[in-house]
Amino acid sequence: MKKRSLKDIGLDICVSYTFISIGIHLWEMFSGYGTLKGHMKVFSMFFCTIVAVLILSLYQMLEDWPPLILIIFQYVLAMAIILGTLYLLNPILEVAPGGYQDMWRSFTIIYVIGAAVYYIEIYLSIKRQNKWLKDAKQSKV
Amino acid sequence: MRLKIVEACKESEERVEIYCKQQTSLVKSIIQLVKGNQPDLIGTYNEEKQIIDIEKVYYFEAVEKKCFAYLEKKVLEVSYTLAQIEEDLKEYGFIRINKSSIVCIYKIEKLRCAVNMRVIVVLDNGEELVISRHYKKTFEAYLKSKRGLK
Repeated sequence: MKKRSLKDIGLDICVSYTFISIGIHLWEMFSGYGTLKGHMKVFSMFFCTIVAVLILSLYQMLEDWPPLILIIFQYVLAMAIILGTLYLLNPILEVAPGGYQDMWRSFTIIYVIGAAVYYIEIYLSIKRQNKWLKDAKQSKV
Repeated sequence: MRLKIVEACKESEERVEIYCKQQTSLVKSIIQLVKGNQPDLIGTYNEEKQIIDIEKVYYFEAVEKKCFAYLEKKVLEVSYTLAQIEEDLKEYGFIRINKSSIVCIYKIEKLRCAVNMRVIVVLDNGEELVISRHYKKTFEAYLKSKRGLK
């Protein structure tokens, strides 16, 4: 039997939790348990996650784009899809007056943190590679 | 490692003798250097064929289905493809950094991050090249492998 890595186990836990959580909320919603607001909060986070992951996967396809331009483009696209969907669902969900702002703020904060982490990672990687470059040139026979 | 150089006028030819307990990677490199396994490249400059010393090449670039070798102040056209150059010169410090360029790491002064988050290679002669995202990981792994040869 093939040994499974911690990464694979972690991935299984995340996927399982997602299915169980969404499944339970769907069942409760149709059974009349809990509040519609509470359930919709969970579903909206799930929807945002799907949109974010799909848009971030464009990263590999748009290789010729400078990373900063790509990050901005992905952000604008994600916000357009999320806020646009919220607007379309407004007649059904009755979005609160500050709902759009709350959604924008929730998504933007996490996105900015992610972009900052990415930039710091590039900076540290360059620093590391410059050190390796120096070592390689010194050890060249 | 002790080094002894004897300048003897009576010798009819240059010779190198290596005394070693075992052939370490350093000894093998010296043997390779003396044997002259370094590949010869032929390039064209002003319609004249010339042998290119790969130690003087900064990078190779493919432009409009032609391949060029960029030295410090000269550019020669070579009749090899980037794939061939990548394969043959990998152990001599040459690594691909984007679809159309192969750079010599020993000619790189430093790496820097551009404002748009692209990774830029700054060469000793001041020229700059871009490392594309596709080749970032292989470039980093290559640098890591080359730094350990001491």
